[in-house]
Amino acid sequence: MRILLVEDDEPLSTALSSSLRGANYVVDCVYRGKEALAMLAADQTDIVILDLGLPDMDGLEVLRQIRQKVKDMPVIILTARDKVTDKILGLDAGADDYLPKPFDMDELFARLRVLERRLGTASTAMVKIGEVALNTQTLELTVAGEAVSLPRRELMLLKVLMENGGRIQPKQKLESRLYEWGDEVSSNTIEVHIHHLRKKLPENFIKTIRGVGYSIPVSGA
Amino acid sequence: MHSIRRTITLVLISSLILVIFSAAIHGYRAALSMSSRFMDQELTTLLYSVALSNGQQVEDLGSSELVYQIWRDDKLITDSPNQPDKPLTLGADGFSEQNFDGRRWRVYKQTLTDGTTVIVGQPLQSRVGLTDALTVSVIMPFIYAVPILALIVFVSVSLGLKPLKLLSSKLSHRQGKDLSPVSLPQVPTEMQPVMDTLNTMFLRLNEAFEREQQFASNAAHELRTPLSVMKINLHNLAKERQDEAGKLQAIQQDTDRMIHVVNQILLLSRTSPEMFHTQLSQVDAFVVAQNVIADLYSKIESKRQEISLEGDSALLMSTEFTLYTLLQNLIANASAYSPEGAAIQVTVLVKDQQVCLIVEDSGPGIALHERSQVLKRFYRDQKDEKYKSTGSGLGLAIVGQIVTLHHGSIALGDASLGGLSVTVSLPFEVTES
Repeated sequence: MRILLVEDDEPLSTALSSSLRGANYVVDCVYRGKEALAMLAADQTDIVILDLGLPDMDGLEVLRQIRQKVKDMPVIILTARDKVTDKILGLDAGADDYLPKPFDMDELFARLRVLERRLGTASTAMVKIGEVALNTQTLELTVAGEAVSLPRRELMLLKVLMENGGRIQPKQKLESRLYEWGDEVSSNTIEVHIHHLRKKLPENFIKTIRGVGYSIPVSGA
Repeated sequence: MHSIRRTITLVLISSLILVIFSAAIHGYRAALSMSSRFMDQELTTLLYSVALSNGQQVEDLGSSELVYQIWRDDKLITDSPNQPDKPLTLGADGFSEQNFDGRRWRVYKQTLTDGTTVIVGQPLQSRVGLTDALTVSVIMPFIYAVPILALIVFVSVSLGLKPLKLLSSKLSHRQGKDLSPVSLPQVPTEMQPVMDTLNTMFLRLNEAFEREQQFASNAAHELRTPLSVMKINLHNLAKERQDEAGKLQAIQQDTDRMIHVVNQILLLSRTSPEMFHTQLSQVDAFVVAQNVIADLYSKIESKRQEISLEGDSALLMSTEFTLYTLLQNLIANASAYSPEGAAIQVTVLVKDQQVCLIVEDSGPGIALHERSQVLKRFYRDQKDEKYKSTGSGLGLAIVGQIVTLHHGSIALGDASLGGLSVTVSLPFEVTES
């Protein structure tokens, strides 16, 4: 996996790239927006980590130009700005994820894994939490090594939850995903799907956070 | 309060009245002296015509009010009808004023060369009547002029002060902490310096305000980037030196604490009243609570704590950032001060034109006698020494500042879950103080 790191702060770039290399990523470091766009032209980059505070051009503008050149390039934004509006602007401009500085490396690795899975190489398609393993490409589910069959809709839901393990998926967000998949959504559609999923999964695998959404805990599993 | 318009109008109208009345008095006096000279002349004429009549009744007196007597050797020879038989005057020749017949008279006496004394008289009242008629005809236009002039004064003073009134209404209708320059359609020369000074001041204030904002954002960048580097290097080091894991973890914790303090200081500066009032909009507290819980969830989950959100959509005037910061502090506090496996319940409800945010936990709570102490820390002076020394106090100061911004209130109580319950009540609308 080849990562293009666009970060103007040299100490941060050095530390980050060494950490990423330690996790077996190939890292190209650039310090300017223009260099980043030039590197992308070489067509060797899989994921971009982009700092928004660049000296030569606005990070959001770099992001827009990346989107124009390579439509589906996964981009994670890093920023020292943490206003809610910055986050929204970033995601609106086409970022796939957003990490405010200072962040945990483990958090960054987790986000990178989600993007990698989306890129869809066989080795990264497997998500395993506890005894539950899901191939995010083929949607094959095994619980304690035994294959389990479930309707596709419910497997898609499980995929979203497992890919974001440890994080809450708000109910509205899950509902909007169901819409995207062409499902009719009524007020308790999600509850029904989750209920079905739970029957096939280990106890307490999916947690309900009342009033907010659902989550699959990673720490306890 | 004193009003310029009222003062100017009053001074102008009262001086006008003063001038008009002194003119009237002067005119009255002039008319009086002129008419008395004219009347005296008439009396003199009458006296001569009486003297020339040689003791005959004078038929044509010119005015029925006129009287005369002719005396010779203290004997009344002839007189006009209805006269007292005493002399009208006993004084010397010439003009004098006398009382008889219940009235006051102007009397002229002349002793002729043959010893005959002729006295003529005229009641003063008839003279005054004439003078009055004269004076009134002179003064009347002035009297009529007073209300018209007063109206003109009032209108022109009001018109003259109109730009000032416009300026004050523009200033008082300003939205929040609007620091843009003021402009008026027509600025009188007298007000130009005021306007210029005002606008210069607005400009400087605005610049200072922007500098402050910029400072917060610069400080964020300057501190967060090196803190990120520190964190990543520590992470790398921990992987390389597993034998030093204990020491490294301690440094990592300190780094996290430092990051926390930096974030809190920035939050405090960003929830300033200036920022708040310029960015007010309608925010749903329930949605903000969902976001806060989702963002804090990994921390809560790592302590195996259960969190739930009760209630429904609750709109109020605020900013997303402010409400987020408030709830983040309350929920993070509940999680931090509750043990592993504790339960936290967040409730958003609408009551009496207020949105109530209730955060309850099953932790140890706060003893009754210590609660007021804790509440004080919410509102404590930011110059307090303790504020500088620890990071944990900042969260409460931020919550206190946000509650104050909303003119809301905060209360501590016993949670149904067994621990502490913190209730923050925020009115729907924010009135600027």
